[in-house]
Amino acid sequence: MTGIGAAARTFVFPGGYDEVDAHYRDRGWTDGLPIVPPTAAAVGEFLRWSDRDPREVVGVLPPRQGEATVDRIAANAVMAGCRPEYLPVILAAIEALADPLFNLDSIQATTHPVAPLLIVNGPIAREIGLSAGCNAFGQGVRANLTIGRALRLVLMNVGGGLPGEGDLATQGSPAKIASCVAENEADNPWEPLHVEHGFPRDVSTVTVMGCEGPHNIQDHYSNTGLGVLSTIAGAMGQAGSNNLLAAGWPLLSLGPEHAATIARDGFTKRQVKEFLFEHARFPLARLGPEYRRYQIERRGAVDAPGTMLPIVRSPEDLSIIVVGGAGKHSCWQPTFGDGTRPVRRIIARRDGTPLASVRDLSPR
Amino acid sequence: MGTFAFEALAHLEARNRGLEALPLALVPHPLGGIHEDEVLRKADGVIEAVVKAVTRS
Repeated sequence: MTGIGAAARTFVFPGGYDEVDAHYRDRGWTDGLPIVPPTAAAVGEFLRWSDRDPREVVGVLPPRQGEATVDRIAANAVMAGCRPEYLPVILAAIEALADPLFNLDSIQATTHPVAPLLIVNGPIAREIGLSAGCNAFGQGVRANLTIGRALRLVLMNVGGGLPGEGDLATQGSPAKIASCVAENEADNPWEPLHVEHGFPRDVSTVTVMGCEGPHNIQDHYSNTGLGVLSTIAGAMGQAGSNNLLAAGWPLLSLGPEHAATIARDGFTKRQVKEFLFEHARFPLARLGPEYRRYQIERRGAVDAPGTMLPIVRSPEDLSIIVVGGAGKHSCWQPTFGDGTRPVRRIIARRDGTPLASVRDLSPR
Repeated sequence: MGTFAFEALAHLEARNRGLEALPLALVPHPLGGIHEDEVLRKADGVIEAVVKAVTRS
Protein backbone atom coordinates (compact mmCIF):
# COMPACT_ATOMS: atom_id res chain seq x y z
CA MET A 1 0.00 0.00 0.00
CA THR A 2 1.27 3.40 -0.89
CA GLY A 3 -0.27 6.82 -0.76
CA ILE A 4 -0.38 9.66 1.65
CA GLY A 5 -3.28 10.09 4.03
CA ALA A 6 -4.49 12.93 6.17
CA ALA A 7 -2.26 14.01 9.04
CA ALA A 8 -3.38 12.74 12.42
CA ARG A 9 -5.32 15.39 14.29
CA THR A 10 -3.80 16.81 17.45
CA PHE A 11 -5.68 18.68 20.14
CA VAL A 12 -4.84 20.49 23.32
CA PHE A 13 -6.28 18.81 26.38
CA PRO A 14 -6.37 20.82 29.57
CA GLY A 15 -7.00 18.02 32.08
CA GLY A 16 -4.79 15.52 33.89
CA TYR A 17 -4.45 11.81 33.23
CA ASP A 18 -7.85 10.85 34.64
CA GLU A 19 -9.58 13.36 32.40
CA VAL A 20 -7.61 12.25 29.36
CA ASP A 21 -8.41 8.60 30.02
CA ALA A 22 -12.09 9.41 30.56
CA HIS A 23 -12.15 11.45 27.36
CA TYR A 24 -10.78 8.56 25.31
CA ARG A 25 -13.20 6.15 26.99
CA ASP A 26 -16.20 8.42 26.41
CA ARG A 27 -15.32 8.88 22.75
CA GLY A 28 -15.13 5.11 22.29
CA TRP A 29 -11.43 5.21 21.51
CA THR A 30 -10.37 2.42 23.87
CA ASP A 31 -10.77 -1.33 24.15
CA GLY A 32 -12.13 -0.90 27.68
CA LEU A 33 -8.73 -0.73 29.35
CA PRO A 34 -7.04 2.51 30.38
CA ILE A 35 -4.81 4.00 27.71
CA VAL A 36 -1.44 5.71 27.66
CA PRO A 37 -2.11 9.23 26.34
CA PRO A 38 -0.73 9.52 22.79
CA THR A 39 0.94 12.87 23.22
CA ALA A 40 2.67 14.45 20.24
CA ALA A 41 6.01 13.83 21.96
CA ALA A 42 5.29 10.14 22.56
CA VAL A 43 4.07 9.59 19.00
CA GLY A 44 7.09 11.48 17.70
CA GLU A 45 9.42 9.16 19.60
CA PHE A 46 7.71 6.14 18.00
CA LEU A 47 8.03 7.66 14.54
CA ARG A 48 11.81 7.72 14.95
CA TRP A 49 11.67 3.92 14.67
CA SER A 50 10.41 3.97 11.11
CA ASP A 51 11.77 5.34 7.84
CA ARG A 52 8.29 5.85 6.45
CA ASP A 53 6.49 9.15 6.00
CA PRO A 54 4.21 9.58 9.04
CA ARG A 55 1.29 10.11 6.66
CA GLU A 56 2.01 7.06 4.51
CA VAL A 57 -1.02 4.80 4.28
CA VAL A 58 0.02 1.32 5.43
CA GLY A 59 -3.40 -0.18 4.80
CA VAL A 60 -7.09 0.66 4.39
CA LEU A 61 -9.11 -1.03 7.09
CA PRO A 62 -12.79 -2.01 6.91
CA PRO A 63 -15.57 -1.58 7.81
CA ARG A 64 -14.81 2.14 8.12
CA GLN A 65 -12.33 2.02 5.22
CA GLY A 66 -10.06 3.96 7.53
CA GLU A 67 -6.59 4.85 6.32
CA ALA A 68 -4.07 3.32 8.69
CA THR A 69 -1.28 5.86 8.33
CA VAL A 70 2.02 5.44 10.12
CA ASP A 71 1.26 8.17 12.64
CA ARG A 72 -2.23 6.85 13.42
CA ILE A 73 -0.75 3.42 13.96
CA ALA A 74 1.95 4.93 16.17
CA ALA A 75 -0.66 6.79 18.22
CA ASN A 76 -2.58 3.56 18.86
CA ALA A 77 0.67 1.78 19.73
CA VAL A 78 1.40 4.47 22.32
CA MET A 79 -2.12 4.05 23.70
CA ALA A 80 -1.61 0.28 23.95
CA GLY A 81 1.49 0.71 26.11
CA CYS A 82 4.02 -0.37 23.48
CA ARG A 83 7.70 0.51 23.51
CA PRO A 84 8.73 2.69 20.55
CA GLU A 85 10.96 -0.02 19.10
CA TYR A 86 7.94 -2.27 18.54
CA LEU A 87 6.69 0.00 15.76
CA PRO A 88 8.39 -1.78 12.80
CA VAL A 89 6.73 -5.04 13.88
CA ILE A 90 3.33 -3.37 14.20
CA LEU A 91 3.60 -1.68 10.81
CA ALA A 92 4.40 -5.01 9.13
CA ALA A 93 1.47 -6.60 10.95
CA ILE A 94 -1.01 -3.93 9.86
CA GLU A 95 0.19 -4.30 6.29
CA ALA A 96 -0.49 -8.03 6.54
CA LEU A 97 -3.93 -7.53 8.11
CA ALA A 98 -4.91 -5.22 5.25
CA ASP A 99 -4.05 -7.85 2.63
CA PRO A 100 -7.30 -8.97 0.95
CA LEU A 101 -6.32 -12.61 1.50
CA PHE A 102 -6.70 -12.06 5.23
CA ASN A 103 -10.25 -10.83 4.59
CA LEU A 104 -10.51 -8.19 7.26
CA ASP A 105 -13.96 -7.24 5.93
CA SER A 106 -15.39 -10.44 7.32
CA ILE A 107 -13.07 -10.83 10.27
CA GLN A 108 -13.93 -7.43 11.70
CA ALA A 109 -17.68 -7.86 11.42
CA THR A 110 -18.41 -11.55 11.91
CA THR A 111 -20.34 -13.20 14.72
CA HIS A 112 -17.46 -15.74 14.95
CA PRO A 113 -14.93 -15.14 17.79
CA VAL A 114 -12.01 -14.73 15.39
CA ALA A 115 -8.99 -12.72 16.46
CA PRO A 116 -5.94 -11.70 14.47
CA LEU A 117 -3.09 -13.78 15.90
CA LEU A 118 0.35 -12.30 15.21
CA ILE A 119 3.25 -14.76 15.03
CA VAL A 120 6.70 -13.19 14.93
CA ASN A 121 9.73 -15.11 13.66
CA GLY A 122 13.40 -14.25 13.40
CA PRO A 123 15.92 -12.26 15.42
CA ILE A 124 13.73 -9.19 15.90
CA ALA A 125 11.29 -11.26 17.97
CA ARG A 126 14.09 -11.91 20.43
CA GLU A 127 15.48 -8.39 20.20
CA ILE A 128 12.25 -6.74 21.33
CA GLY A 129 11.70 -9.32 24.06
CA LEU A 130 8.70 -11.19 22.70
CA SER A 131 7.99 -14.32 24.68
CA ALA A 132 8.04 -17.66 22.89
CA GLY A 133 8.45 -19.73 26.02
CA CYS A 134 6.64 -20.35 29.30
CA ASN A 135 3.09 -18.92 29.22
CA ALA A 136 3.77 -17.23 25.87
CA PHE A 137 0.06 -17.00 25.01
CA GLY A 138 -0.69 -15.70 28.50
CA GLN A 139 0.15 -12.77 30.71
CA GLY A 140 3.50 -11.42 31.80
CA VAL A 141 5.40 -9.98 28.84
CA ARG A 142 4.91 -6.43 27.69
CA ALA A 143 5.81 -6.97 24.03
CA ASN A 144 3.31 -9.79 23.51
CA LEU A 145 0.46 -8.02 25.24
CA THR A 146 0.93 -4.50 24.01
CA ILE A 147 1.68 -5.36 20.38
CA GLY A 148 -1.44 -7.52 20.31
CA ARG A 149 -3.40 -4.73 21.94
CA ALA A 150 -2.04 -2.15 19.49
CA LEU A 151 -3.40 -4.18 16.58
CA ARG A 152 -6.80 -4.35 18.25
CA LEU A 153 -6.85 -0.60 18.90
CA VAL A 154 -5.96 0.11 15.27
CA LEU A 155 -8.72 -2.24 14.11
CA MET A 156 -11.17 -0.39 16.36
CA ASN A 157 -10.07 3.22 16.03
CA VAL A 158 -9.02 3.23 12.38
CA GLY A 159 -11.01 0.28 11.02
CA GLY A 160 -14.18 0.92 13.01
CA GLY A 161 -14.44 -2.58 14.49
CA LEU A 162 -16.43 -1.39 17.48
CA PRO A 163 -18.49 -3.95 19.39
CA GLY A 164 -22.13 -3.73 18.41
CA GLU A 165 -21.36 -1.53 15.38
CA GLY A 166 -18.59 -2.83 13.16
CA ASP A 167 -17.88 -5.96 15.21
CA LEU A 168 -20.87 -8.19 15.80
CA ALA A 169 -19.22 -11.15 17.53
CA THR A 170 -21.82 -13.23 19.31
CA GLN A 171 -19.64 -13.83 22.37
CA GLY A 172 -16.19 -12.66 21.35
CA SER A 173 -13.10 -14.09 22.96
CA PRO A 174 -10.30 -12.99 25.28
CA ALA A 175 -8.05 -13.58 22.26
CA LYS A 176 -9.59 -10.48 20.70
CA ILE A 177 -7.96 -8.30 23.34
CA ALA A 178 -4.38 -9.20 22.39
CA SER A 179 -2.94 -12.17 20.49
CA CYS A 180 0.75 -11.97 19.75
CA VAL A 181 3.44 -14.58 20.19
CA ALA A 182 6.93 -15.44 18.94
CA GLU A 183 7.83 -18.90 17.74
CA ASN A 184 10.18 -20.83 20.02
CA GLU A 185 12.75 -21.37 17.30
CA ALA A 186 15.46 -22.53 19.71
CA ASP A 187 13.38 -25.53 20.79
CA ASN A 188 11.94 -26.29 17.37
CA PRO A 189 13.30 -29.59 16.03
CA TRP A 190 12.24 -28.61 12.51
CA GLU A 191 12.48 -25.44 10.47
CA PRO A 192 10.55 -22.48 11.94
CA LEU A 193 7.50 -21.11 10.17
CA HIS A 194 9.24 -18.39 8.14
CA VAL A 195 12.04 -20.71 6.98
CA GLU A 196 9.44 -23.28 5.93
CA HIS A 197 7.97 -20.58 3.72
CA GLY A 198 11.24 -19.70 2.05
CA PHE A 199 12.73 -16.93 4.19
CA PRO A 200 16.28 -17.08 5.57
CA ARG A 201 16.47 -17.83 9.26
CA ASP A 202 17.95 -14.40 10.02
CA VAL A 203 15.11 -12.52 8.30
CA SER A 204 12.35 -11.47 10.68
CA THR A 205 8.74 -11.89 9.64
CA VAL A 206 5.24 -11.46 10.93
CA THR A 207 2.45 -13.89 10.11
CA VAL A 208 -1.17 -13.00 10.80
CA MET A 209 -3.84 -15.66 11.12
CA GLY A 210 -7.55 -15.25 11.76
CA CYS A 211 -7.82 -17.61 14.74
CA GLU A 212 -9.93 -18.52 17.69
CA GLY A 213 -8.14 -18.51 21.01
CA PRO A 214 -5.88 -21.48 21.85
CA HIS A 215 -7.60 -24.84 22.56
CA ASN A 216 -5.37 -26.83 24.92
CA ILE A 217 -4.21 -30.36 24.05
CA GLN A 218 -2.86 -32.19 27.08
CA ASP A 219 -0.99 -35.49 26.78
CA HIS A 220 1.16 -36.52 29.74
CA TYR A 221 0.91 -40.22 29.00
CA SER A 222 2.10 -40.92 25.48
CA ASN A 223 5.82 -41.53 25.15
CA THR A 224 5.91 -41.96 21.40
CA GLY A 225 5.43 -39.52 18.57
CA LEU A 226 2.56 -41.61 17.29
CA GLY A 227 0.87 -41.47 20.67
CA VAL A 228 1.19 -37.69 20.99
CA LEU A 229 -0.02 -37.17 17.43
CA SER A 230 -3.01 -39.42 18.03
CA THR A 231 -4.09 -37.24 20.95
CA ILE A 232 -3.56 -34.08 18.92
CA ALA A 233 -5.56 -35.50 16.02
CA GLY A 234 -8.36 -36.36 18.43
CA ALA A 235 -8.45 -32.80 19.73
CA MET A 236 -8.36 -31.15 16.32
CA GLY A 237 -11.02 -33.34 14.75
CA GLN A 238 -13.83 -31.70 16.67
CA ALA A 239 -17.38 -30.69 15.84
CA GLY A 240 -18.21 -27.02 15.85
CA SER A 241 -15.07 -25.49 14.39
CA ASN A 242 -15.22 -23.42 11.21
CA ASN A 243 -12.51 -25.71 9.83
CA LEU A 244 -14.80 -28.72 10.03
CA LEU A 245 -17.49 -26.57 8.44
CA ALA A 246 -15.39 -25.19 5.61
CA ALA A 247 -11.73 -26.32 5.87
CA GLY A 248 -9.24 -23.43 5.71
CA TRP A 249 -5.83 -23.01 7.31
CA PRO A 250 -5.81 -23.86 11.04
CA LEU A 251 -2.83 -23.59 13.37
CA LEU A 252 -1.18 -26.15 15.65
CA SER A 253 1.23 -24.79 18.27
CA LEU A 254 3.26 -27.68 19.61
CA GLY A 255 4.78 -27.40 23.06
CA PRO A 256 8.53 -28.09 22.85
CA GLU A 257 8.26 -31.41 24.69
CA HIS A 258 5.55 -32.74 22.42
CA ALA A 259 7.56 -31.53 19.40
CA ALA A 260 10.70 -33.24 20.69
CA THR A 261 8.92 -36.55 21.21
CA ILE A 262 7.39 -36.44 17.73
CA ALA A 263 10.67 -35.47 16.05
CA ARG A 264 12.68 -38.03 18.04
CA ASP A 265 10.49 -40.73 16.55
CA GLY A 266 11.40 -39.63 13.07
CA PHE A 267 8.50 -37.46 11.98
CA THR A 268 9.37 -34.53 9.74
CA LYS A 269 7.09 -31.50 9.88
CA ARG A 270 5.62 -32.56 6.55
CA GLN A 271 4.87 -36.02 7.94
CA VAL A 272 3.18 -34.47 10.98
CA LYS A 273 0.93 -32.53 8.63
CA GLU A 274 0.17 -35.64 6.60
CA PHE A 275 -0.68 -37.61 9.75
CA LEU A 276 -3.01 -34.90 10.98
CA PHE A 277 -4.64 -34.50 7.59
CA GLU A 278 -5.53 -38.20 7.70
CA HIS A 279 -6.46 -38.47 11.38
CA ALA A 280 -7.72 -35.09 12.61
CA ARG A 281 -11.22 -35.86 11.42
CA PHE A 282 -14.72 -36.06 12.83
CA PRO A 283 -17.23 -38.80 12.04
CA LEU A 284 -20.04 -37.64 9.74
CA ALA A 285 -22.39 -40.01 11.57
CA ARG A 286 -21.96 -38.11 14.85
CA LEU A 287 -23.21 -34.82 13.44
CA GLY A 288 -26.84 -33.84 13.73
CA PRO A 289 -29.05 -34.50 10.70
CA GLU A 290 -29.10 -30.97 9.29
CA TYR A 291 -25.34 -30.49 9.66
CA ARG A 292 -24.81 -33.93 8.15
CA ARG A 293 -26.98 -33.00 5.19
CA TYR A 294 -25.00 -29.79 4.72
CA GLN A 295 -21.75 -31.78 4.60
CA ILE A 296 -23.20 -34.21 2.07
CA GLU A 297 -24.98 -31.73 -0.19
CA ARG A 298 -22.62 -28.75 -0.01
CA ARG A 299 -19.21 -30.25 0.68
CA GLY A 300 -19.50 -33.57 -1.11
CA ALA A 301 -19.14 -35.82 1.92
CA VAL A 302 -19.93 -39.45 1.16
CA ASP A 303 -23.12 -40.49 2.96
CA ALA A 304 -21.70 -43.64 4.54
CA PRO A 305 -21.38 -44.85 8.13
CA GLY A 306 -17.58 -44.72 8.11
CA THR A 307 -17.13 -41.23 6.58
CA MET A 308 -14.65 -39.05 8.46
CA LEU A 309 -14.67 -35.31 7.75
CA PRO A 310 -11.32 -33.50 7.40
CA ILE A 311 -10.54 -30.04 8.77
CA VAL A 312 -8.21 -29.08 5.89
CA ARG A 313 -8.26 -29.79 2.17
CA SER A 314 -4.61 -30.86 2.07
CA PRO A 315 -1.75 -31.40 4.54
CA GLU A 316 0.05 -28.19 3.61
CA ASP A 317 -2.95 -26.11 4.65
CA LEU A 318 -2.11 -26.83 8.28
CA SER A 319 0.37 -24.44 9.91
CA ILE A 320 2.62 -25.76 12.67
CA ILE A 321 4.77 -23.73 15.05
CA VAL A 322 6.54 -24.53 18.32
CA VAL A 323 5.60 -22.36 21.30
CA GLY A 324 5.97 -22.62 25.05
CA GLY A 325 8.14 -23.91 27.85
CA ALA A 326 8.32 -27.09 29.92
CA GLY A 327 5.26 -29.32 30.06
CA LYS A 328 3.16 -31.73 28.07
CA HIS A 329 0.78 -29.24 26.50
CA SER A 330 0.19 -28.11 22.97
CA CYS A 331 -2.72 -26.18 21.53
CA TRP A 332 -4.54 -25.72 18.29
CA GLN A 333 -6.43 -22.75 17.01
CA PRO A 334 -9.32 -23.20 14.62
CA THR A 335 -9.51 -20.37 12.16
CA PHE A 336 -12.30 -18.47 10.40
CA GLY A 337 -12.61 -21.46 8.06
CA ASP A 338 -11.80 -20.84 4.43
CA GLY A 339 -12.72 -17.18 4.90
CA THR A 340 -9.19 -16.17 5.79
CA ARG A 341 -5.65 -17.15 4.85
CA PRO A 342 -2.40 -16.71 6.76
CA VAL A 343 -0.56 -13.65 5.49
CA ARG A 344 3.14 -13.01 5.97
CA ARG A 345 5.30 -9.90 5.74
CA ILE A 346 8.99 -9.21 6.26
CA ILE A 347 9.82 -6.70 8.98
CA ALA A 348 11.54 -4.30 6.65
CA ARG A 349 12.62 -0.84 5.71
CA ARG A 350 10.27 1.15 3.55
CA ASP A 351 12.11 -0.08 0.43
CA GLY A 352 11.52 -3.69 1.43
CA THR A 353 15.03 -4.44 2.67
CA PRO A 354 14.74 -6.75 5.68
CA LEU A 355 15.69 -5.19 8.98
CA ALA A 356 18.45 -7.08 10.76
CA SER A 357 17.57 -5.14 13.90
CA VAL A 358 14.91 -2.59 14.78
CA ARG A 359 17.81 -0.39 15.89
CA ASP A 360 18.89 -0.09 12.25
CA LEU A 361 16.24 2.62 11.98
CA SER A 362 16.73 4.56 15.19
CA PRO A 363 17.74 6.91 16.53
CA ARG A 364 17.97 8.93 13.36
CA MET B 1 -29.94 -9.25 1.94
CA GLY B 2 -29.58 -9.63 5.68
CA THR B 3 -31.37 -9.58 8.98
CA PHE B 4 -32.40 -6.59 11.03
CA ALA B 5 -29.73 -7.53 13.61
CA PHE B 6 -27.11 -6.54 11.04
CA GLU B 7 -28.88 -3.53 9.57
CA ALA B 8 -26.62 -0.93 11.14
CA LEU B 9 -23.50 -2.80 10.01
CA ALA B 10 -24.87 -3.11 6.48
CA HIS B 11 -25.52 0.64 6.31
CA LEU B 12 -22.07 1.34 7.76
CA GLU B 13 -20.33 -0.85 5.19
CA ALA B 14 -22.35 0.55 2.31
CA ARG B 15 -21.78 4.16 3.34
CA ASN B 16 -18.04 3.68 3.79
CA ARG B 17 -17.77 2.19 0.32
CA GLY B 18 -19.64 5.08 -1.26
CA LEU B 19 -22.83 3.06 -1.75
CA GLU B 20 -25.13 4.95 0.57
CA ALA B 21 -28.16 4.25 -1.63
CA LEU B 22 -27.52 0.51 -1.80
CA PRO B 23 -30.93 -1.15 -1.39
CA LEU B 24 -31.11 -3.59 1.50
CA ALA B 25 -33.61 -6.42 1.82
CA LEU B 26 -33.93 -7.14 5.52
CA VAL B 27 -35.74 -9.95 7.30
CA PRO B 28 -36.22 -10.75 10.99
CA HIS B 29 -33.22 -12.38 12.66
CA PRO B 30 -32.07 -15.17 12.50
CA LEU B 31 -31.54 -16.80 9.12
CA GLY B 32 -29.42 -19.71 10.33
CA GLY B 33 -30.79 -22.62 12.33
CA ILE B 34 -34.42 -22.23 11.25
CA HIS B 35 -36.76 -24.62 9.49
CA GLU B 36 -37.38 -24.39 5.77
CA ASP B 37 -40.99 -23.22 6.11
CA GLU B 38 -39.79 -20.30 8.21
CA VAL B 39 -37.19 -19.44 5.57
CA LEU B 40 -39.95 -19.35 2.98
CA ARG B 41 -42.12 -17.14 5.20
CA LYS B 42 -39.27 -14.68 5.61
CA ALA B 43 -38.57 -14.75 1.88
CA ASP B 44 -42.23 -14.06 1.12
CA GLY B 45 -42.09 -11.06 3.38
CA VAL B 46 -39.21 -9.47 1.52
CA ILE B 47 -39.63 -10.63 -2.08
CA GLU B 48 -41.35 -7.45 -3.22
CA ALA B 49 -38.50 -5.33 -1.92
CA VAL B 50 -35.97 -7.55 -3.71
CA VAL B 51 -37.86 -7.37 -7.02
CA LYS B 52 -38.13 -3.61 -6.69
CA ALA B 53 -34.42 -3.28 -5.95
CA VAL B 54 -33.21 -5.42 -8.84
CA THR B 55 -35.69 -4.10 -11.43
CA ARG B 56 -35.82 -0.49 -10.22
CA SER B 57 -39.57 -0.75 -10.75
